[in-house]
Amino acid sequence: MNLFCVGLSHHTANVATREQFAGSATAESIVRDAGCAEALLLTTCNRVEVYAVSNRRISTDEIARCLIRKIDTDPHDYAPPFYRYEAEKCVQHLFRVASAVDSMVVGESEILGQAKRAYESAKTSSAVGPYLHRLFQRAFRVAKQVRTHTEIARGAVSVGSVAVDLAQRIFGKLSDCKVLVLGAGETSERTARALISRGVSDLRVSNRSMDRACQLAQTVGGQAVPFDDWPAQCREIDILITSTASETPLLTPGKLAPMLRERLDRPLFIIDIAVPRDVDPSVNEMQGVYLYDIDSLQSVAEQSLAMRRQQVAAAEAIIAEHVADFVDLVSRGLHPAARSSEHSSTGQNSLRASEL
Amino acid sequence: MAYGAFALACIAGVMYLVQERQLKTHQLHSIFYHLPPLFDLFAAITRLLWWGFLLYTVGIVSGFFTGHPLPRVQVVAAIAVWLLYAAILQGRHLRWLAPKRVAALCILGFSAALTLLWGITFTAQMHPLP
Repeated sequence: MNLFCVGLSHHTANVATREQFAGSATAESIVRDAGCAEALLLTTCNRVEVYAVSNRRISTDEIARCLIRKIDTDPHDYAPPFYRYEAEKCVQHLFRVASAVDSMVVGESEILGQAKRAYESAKTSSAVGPYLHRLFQRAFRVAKQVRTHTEIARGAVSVGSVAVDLAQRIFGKLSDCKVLVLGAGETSERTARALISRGVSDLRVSNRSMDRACQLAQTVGGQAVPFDDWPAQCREIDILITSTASETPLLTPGKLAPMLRERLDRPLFIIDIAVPRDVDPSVNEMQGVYLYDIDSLQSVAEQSLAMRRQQVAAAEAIIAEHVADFVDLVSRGLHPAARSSEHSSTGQNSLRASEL
Repeated sequence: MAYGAFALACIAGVMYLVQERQLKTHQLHSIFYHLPPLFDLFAAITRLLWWGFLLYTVGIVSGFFTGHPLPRVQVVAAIAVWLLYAAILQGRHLRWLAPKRVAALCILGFSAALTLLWGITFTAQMHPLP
């Protein structure tokens, strides 16, 4: 049996190329058209990959022909940058993909869910047999172990999620937090939605145009506040998100100082995503105030990403251990599925060792 | 037990200051993600200070009822530590002290208490009572 993977990803192809091969084929159609024994199609915004098992060698072109959307386009003419991994390399590649080591944003959590959905879909159409079943079950376990035993998924890596993550680091539970959104822009709306999804229930919206404030408040389930009243709100709120088009800073230490005295030492987290900035940078020097502008949020996101990249070596070590174990099972002529119940997995051994 | 509560408050104070510093400077290191939220840390510091103070007060008061003569230096040191923590709690209660100062004073207070304890033990060994 030949196990192989053919695909293209953000490493090898741009989105225009990837979209030519995404969306038209299914695992079932690949099994039928290419003559594989088993096949699984993994399609995400960054990759299109076919994992297959066959009795004979199936060329990359044959797989590409099954994937391509335009019937009249010959994959030879198009020359897409397909990669191909066989046997052990294929196992290693899948484990790296599932563990988000190969992702554009290292450590992202989406890929595992997407791989599980791809597996379920292929399983429903009977395109997955015992070989791919065992391979993917192991891949999911490897991914979980990598996430648990390394810091590859630690920290937020987008501006919106950094803001929400920091809010949780300051306040813990966000359900008791009061949030004021100043300026009804798209980014502030996204950040407000992210906060609501993490439990914020008291959300106020203030905008120069009261209609727009009411509209956004209604959309996100908050309450509109007249623009003239927003400074007074700083006495009560915990999180302030500003994104107005004001040319001069709206909030200065002089304005904020009297309000801070009435806040009973609750921290104030300010997310200033406006350009030019709405909040004077010296506000960050005040006791209990944490000010993050767009650059500092970006900088935190980059720090998290750098931290995740440092964890890649640890993740690769776990993956290598599992690849060797899985390949060993196959090379000894034992069906991987047959040994699953009696053989304690590498993951369990590692976990046991780390616990001890 | 009182010293245990003060020690925990001191550790929580260190964690608070580390986290506060990283949040202010926007430099979040790996340790930042392992610390409890800032707000919860300060709540824990306040609780630990109160428990430590109550237990310490009970300890001092019960010391006077043991019936044994107490060395003056020990009594003075115990009252000094009691006054230090009473001042921190009073400053917190009246909102004179910001959370960051309370965290710093927890570290300072515990260091002072340990130094006094060590000093008394050392003095007692050098000049044993007749």
